[in-house]
Amino acid sequence: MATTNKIKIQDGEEVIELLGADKEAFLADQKARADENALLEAEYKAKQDSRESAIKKLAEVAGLTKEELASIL
Amino acid sequence: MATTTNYSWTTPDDTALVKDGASAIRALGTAIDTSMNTALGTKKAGMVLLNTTSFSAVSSVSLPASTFTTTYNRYKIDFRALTSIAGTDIDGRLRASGTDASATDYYHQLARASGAAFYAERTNLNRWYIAGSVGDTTGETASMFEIINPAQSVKTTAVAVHTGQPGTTGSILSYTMAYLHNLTTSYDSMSFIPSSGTITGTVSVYGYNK
Repeated sequence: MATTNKIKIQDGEEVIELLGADKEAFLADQKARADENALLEAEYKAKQDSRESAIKKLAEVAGLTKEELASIL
Repeated sequence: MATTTNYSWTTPDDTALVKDGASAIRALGTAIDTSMNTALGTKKAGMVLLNTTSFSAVSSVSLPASTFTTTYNRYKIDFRALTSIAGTDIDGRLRASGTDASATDYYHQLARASGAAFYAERTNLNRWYIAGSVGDTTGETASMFEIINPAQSVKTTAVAVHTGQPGTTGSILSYTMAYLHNLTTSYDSMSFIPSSGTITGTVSVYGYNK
């Protein structure tokens, strides 16, 4: 359907359809933002997982539960 | 005698005499004066609703032009969005004269909590990163912004709290953010832009009276 190719943006109360170069520029910006945000989220998750793993190891050494140690750190 | 719906102020009936008009206006004015004094005294309303914008299935939504002015220094923005695509992020950009500022002048300090896990990060991007995974078909995200001095010729700052993954049972995230835009440009609006798909929801802007 033709409508799937349209990009609608809202400026205040006015809805505008992007076409041609404006649409391509929007899509390029959107892809760049999505890729960068995905990297950020992956980085957040990797660092969280790393911290969780470290807490688990520390908890084993300290003889505490993971939750007890996390509440201290 | 007719009365108003909310405060029961007395108003003239349609059949009232014209010669009693001055008295009727005086009585109505006095009643309004009393009600206003009871509600506010000499104070002003502390917060003013400037606008509410509803949007449906759009790829970007911008606040109306001239939402930010020098009348106020601080604004509260209540942004609520549903998106049909789980995992969509929302980005924010300041806006002047109908154009988003898209240079790499945006900074954020993020504190992200997921269960017992906590993560902090400071990042420089070409937009403010608002929240990851802002919603899905059942969950509504809530983002409360306090944006400071957007229309003044100083650097714009903001603080915010956002929900992430609100519709994913057991996976809700919280984001506590501090934002800086490193230019002294005056901005009159702001845009909210998903990184994929479209968003549906409302955004309201309130100004703090000085």
